[in-house]
Amino acid sequence: MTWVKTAEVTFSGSSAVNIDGCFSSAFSHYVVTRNLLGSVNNENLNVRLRVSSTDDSGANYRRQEIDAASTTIAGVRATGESSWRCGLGRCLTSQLGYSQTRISNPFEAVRTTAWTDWSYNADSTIGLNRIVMAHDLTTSYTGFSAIPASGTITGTITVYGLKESA
Amino acid sequence: MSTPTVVIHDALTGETVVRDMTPEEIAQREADQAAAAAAKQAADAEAAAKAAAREAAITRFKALGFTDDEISALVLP
Repeated sequence: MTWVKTAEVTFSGSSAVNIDGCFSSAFSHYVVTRNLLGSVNNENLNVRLRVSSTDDSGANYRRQEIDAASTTIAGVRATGESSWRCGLGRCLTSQLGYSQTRISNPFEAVRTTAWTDWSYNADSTIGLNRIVMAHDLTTSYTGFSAIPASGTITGTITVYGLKESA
Repeated sequence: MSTPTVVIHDALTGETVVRDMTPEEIAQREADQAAAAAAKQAADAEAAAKAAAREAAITRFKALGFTDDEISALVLP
C-alpha cells in the first residue's frame, strides 16, 4: 500500500481547521495524521465531514470506542451526534500528540466509515483509545473539519490517499 | 476576547486562508460546547450511579459472609 499525500496544512492558534478537496474519486481510503498542541490539555479533537465548503453538522455521526487506562477498560457508544467526537484523538498542551485516522469511502455516495487509534502519554500517564465511526448519510464528501472542543490548536494535519501497490 | 479564527485549506489549489469565524460558526461552536458539557454531565451521573450500585452490592455481599477475594471474583470492575 502506498500513501499519497492529498493535503497538508500547518496552522497556529486556530479554533477550527477546514480542509477542502482532499477526498476525491482518486482514492477510496484515506489516512489522516496530525502533530498538534492544544491550548487546553486533553481536549477532544472532533471531526466533521465537509462538502461544498460547508460542514455537515447534522446529527448523523455515530461512534463506538474502547479506552484502556491501566487495568481499566471502558466502552462508549454514541449515536445522533453532530460530529465524530475525538475523531482525531485528543490534544495535549505539553507535547505533540499523534493519532492515526482512517477514513473509508468519503467521496463515494455511500456511508462513510472511519476508525482512529490514538494514545495519551503525557503527564505521567499512558493509555490507548480506539474509536470506530460511521456516518448515517450517503453523501459524497470532499473534505473535513478538525474542531477542538474548546480552545485552539497549533500544528500540522496531513491527509494521505491509500493506493494499492502493484 | 478576540474572535476565534478558522483555517481553510484548499487541497486542490494549495491555498490556505485564515479568517475570523463568522457569527454562524461561533454559534455552532457554542452549541457544540453546550452539547459536550451536557453529555459529560450525563456520563458523570451515570458513572456515579454505577459506582454507588457497585459499592452497595459489595456491602451486601460482605453482610452475607463473602470474602474480599470472592467478591472480587463476582463483581466486575
